[in-house]
Amino acid sequence: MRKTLRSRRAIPYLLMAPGLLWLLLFFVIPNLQMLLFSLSEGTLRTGFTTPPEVFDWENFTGGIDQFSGNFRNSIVYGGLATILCFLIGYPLAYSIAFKGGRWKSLLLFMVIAPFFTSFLIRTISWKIILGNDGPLLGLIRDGLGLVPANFSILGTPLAVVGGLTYQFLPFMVLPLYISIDKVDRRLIEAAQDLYAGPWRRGGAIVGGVAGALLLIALQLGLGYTSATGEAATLTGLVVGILIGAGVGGVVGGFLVSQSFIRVTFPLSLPGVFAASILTFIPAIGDYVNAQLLGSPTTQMIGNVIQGRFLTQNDYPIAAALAFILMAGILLSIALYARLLGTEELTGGTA
Amino acid sequence: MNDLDSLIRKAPVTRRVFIQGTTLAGVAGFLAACGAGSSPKPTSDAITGPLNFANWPAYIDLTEDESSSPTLTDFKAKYGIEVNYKEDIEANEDFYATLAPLLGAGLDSGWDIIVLTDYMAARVVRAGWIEEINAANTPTAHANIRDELKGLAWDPDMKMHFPWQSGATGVGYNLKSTGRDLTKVDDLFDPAFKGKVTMLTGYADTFSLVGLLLKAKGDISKLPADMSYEDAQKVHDFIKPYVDSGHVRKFTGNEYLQDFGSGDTWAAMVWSGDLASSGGEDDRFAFPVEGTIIWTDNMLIPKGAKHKGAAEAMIDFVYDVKNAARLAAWIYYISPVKGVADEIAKTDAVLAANELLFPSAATAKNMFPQPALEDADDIKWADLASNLEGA
Amino acid sequence: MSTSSALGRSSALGRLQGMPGGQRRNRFAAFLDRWLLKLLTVVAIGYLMLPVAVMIIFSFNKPQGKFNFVWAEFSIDAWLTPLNRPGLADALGTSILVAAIATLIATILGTLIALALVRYAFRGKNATNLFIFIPMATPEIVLGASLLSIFVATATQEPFRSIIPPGIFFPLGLNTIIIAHVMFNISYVVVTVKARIQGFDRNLEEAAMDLGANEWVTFWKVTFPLIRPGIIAAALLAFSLSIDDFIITNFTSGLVNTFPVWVWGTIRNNLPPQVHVIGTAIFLIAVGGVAFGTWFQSRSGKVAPIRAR
Repeated sequence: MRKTLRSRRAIPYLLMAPGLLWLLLFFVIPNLQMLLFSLSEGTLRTGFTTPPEVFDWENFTGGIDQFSGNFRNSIVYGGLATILCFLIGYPLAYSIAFKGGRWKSLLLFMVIAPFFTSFLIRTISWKIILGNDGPLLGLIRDGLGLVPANFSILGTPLAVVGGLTYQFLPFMVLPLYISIDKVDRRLIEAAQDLYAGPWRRGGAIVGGVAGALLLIALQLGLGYTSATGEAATLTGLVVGILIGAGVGGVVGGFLVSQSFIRVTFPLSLPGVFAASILTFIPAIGDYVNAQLLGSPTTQMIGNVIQGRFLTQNDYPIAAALAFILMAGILLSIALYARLLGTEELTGGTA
Repeated sequence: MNDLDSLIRKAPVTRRVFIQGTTLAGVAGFLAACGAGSSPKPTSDAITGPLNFANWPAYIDLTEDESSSPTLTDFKAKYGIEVNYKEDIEANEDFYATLAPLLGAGLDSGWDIIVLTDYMAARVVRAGWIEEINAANTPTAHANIRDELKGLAWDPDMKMHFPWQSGATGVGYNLKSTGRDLTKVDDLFDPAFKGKVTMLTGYADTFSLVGLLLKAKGDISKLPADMSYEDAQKVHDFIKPYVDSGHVRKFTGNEYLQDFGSGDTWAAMVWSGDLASSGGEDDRFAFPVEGTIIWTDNMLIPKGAKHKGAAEAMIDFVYDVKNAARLAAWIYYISPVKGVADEIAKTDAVLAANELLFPSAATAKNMFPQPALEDADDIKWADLASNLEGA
Repeated sequence: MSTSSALGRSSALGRLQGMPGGQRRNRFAAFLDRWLLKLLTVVAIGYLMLPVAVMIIFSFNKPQGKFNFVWAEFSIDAWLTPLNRPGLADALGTSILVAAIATLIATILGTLIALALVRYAFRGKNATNLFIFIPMATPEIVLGASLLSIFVATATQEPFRSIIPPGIFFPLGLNTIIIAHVMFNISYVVVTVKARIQGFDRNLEEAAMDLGANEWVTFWKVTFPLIRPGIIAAALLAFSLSIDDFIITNFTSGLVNTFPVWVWGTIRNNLPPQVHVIGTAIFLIAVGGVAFGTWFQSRSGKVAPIRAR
């Protein structure tokens, strides 16, 4: 009844052939073409002179040079959004996994529910919420008088990072949930039986330091305080650090226990890495948030790529920038995969 | 940046040249009417549908419930063909990007009429991507076009294009937000409006208007059309600090309309007709004292268009004074058709006196065309603009 | 298994050991121990739901002017005329058509790959796993840009220009949108189906074969019913990714509008409440679909001996 060994060996390749062919034609070859364009000269109108006739490395060097600010924005905003996603997402994932009980499915569902709404409409919603006549400014400006009358949130880095954090939070929560849920509860019980208790002082210190660092990162990254620290903004920086340290300390002190720091967290680390990568990648390449919620000074590299491709038709530079973005991301992932093995990311074993 | 394309681009001519060319235009128009020259054969003179018409948003009259356009309805009734009217043009450059590979490869773009602003129209005409308009099929248009619109360097005798509407770039504001009337370009830089100001993408509008401001201040000696790269650099250097400080919130196309209602934009560089039709009761347009920028959007028939006859019929149709008046009364831009003011005055004297549609002699004197750039400058200017826009 | 958490236990231990400080501080600490995590959870979920709520609320708005950004007054007008915007119905139809076709193709292609990866040992398996992963690790903007590059190249560059007749990849349109959607969906389908097959008991197949069923019959009678929930989940995921995709579609759509591309174009000039109505409708349909799917799976799950892990 069984097929011969030889034909059996061909089966997996036959099964994969159509799908892999599709990816070859519409993923690999397009990227090769993009690489060609990135070394080309010319425009849509004149046609492109591609390698091997020319190798215009200028597109890469000039591109990095001219748009370093946009790369910086992408990395800073993408990074801040990833950190914020982690800080919001970890307690949420932990809470769903360990305390979800009968609400577990509903809570998980609510985490992915935003995906059932159009990405653009969600961003438009943020525009409504953060807008000048929106509810948020209505509260903190008109209601509480915390900020001056012409204070804006829209058009600032804060709005962009806030938008990114929101859009990609589910990308953070789901992998975290899966890896936290996998943690063997017996290990935690064992730790507790061995007198792993609360970790108030340690948690408070760790949380406090983390909170302070976060606030420093936010203030510098969002441009509310210049790196040189002028007198007026120095006060803001110090106040921010104190607030960050205080909140971080309370949260750390009450949420972090010894069994958590010794057992749960280390075991969930692969999930943390996977989740941060899954959050960081779409965040760094996004341009919709910067476009709808940002200003000229908050444009990310995605905005440049988009504009150069679709508006200025400047394919060579656009292709070079896109290639740099992809290469950068793949390199960092490769580095990570080397450190931790590919299985966790590619789902070799689930 | 290696934008070789720009090397071929020839800038649109200034208004002064239009007028100088007018006399020539008559002669050349006559020659064109006789079918002189080695022009390629029109695809077809027969009026067949559907007419595929690409235009900018909010650029055609609508019925009360906004479900249809009386102009298109009448056109369909008159010629018995369908019109596939799409508001697909959001920016000259974006639309060009969809056309260029097709027309460059000698393929049909799928459109029978497209509408592009002067500089982009010149670019596609020079590229040889546009069909000649048969003068025999467009007698009304030839008769009724306003004289000062004829005689452009890139199409001196109306063989390639007919204007759809002209408009002005000036200062728009929401009276409730600003709390006062704005009258100057300089008002856009009032510190009170920090973070609530938007400008237009590209150099054509923003650099021209701010150029007029700097001219009024004495920093620049030339009008926008004659500005040098050094002048453009001055404009850039003037705007840049306002961008960095967050005073200028955004560079936009039509999108500035979004934020007037929500109070996120208080004052902006805008196109004249847009605010009038935006529906916001506190939205105002000002012809700034420093001067206003004027431009024209033009109907063109792309090479290989399948329904060229229908396209010519449409061009002729909208140059009929009654039809033109109906369009102008809804769109609120400046009609290219002679006698529209008189036609509108018959029914609506207030509208006929509206400066947005019919600028007074004084306003018209203070209107200036966009820069007429030579090739190398275009690239450099575009880079200055892109540096301001941050992408 | 006990679900007692690190937190619950630690607070109990904390009380047993006795915290330094007065009674009130103790009570405050106990309060935080008990409620802090719950509070954070509620806030996070609220944050996730907020824009969805705003969308639903603003679908009932009657905006003054062209932009539905500021609350004016309650109205169900937009719900009564949900498609009354030029181009909206077309765009929505295109979105559904694209999503349906792309889902079908991607689900088939992806499932086949997943089957091969899980059920067979072969040379190059790790490389394939990695290859499947890379499109997911590539930013959407790069995927879109590279597709635009190749599609334009078919019209402008040799050798493509002479080999490929115009009309397939260029001008951009329905074809190219579908190609793009299938491309980015394949990897997601593979990963989803694979996760499902992995927990699956190979003994069942072997038993069927031992009982004389050939490989084909075994597949249809045993394997397929077992992995069907995984395939359905993958198809749902592919459909939802496809119908919502903006970034890649914007690069590959040319002048054809899908719903997100239409929204992107229209918000330059107006934002009618119909946008929120359609968004809300899609949301409700999706929620309903998932609720039904969960209910359906919980019924059939009792018979199917499959576990996710």
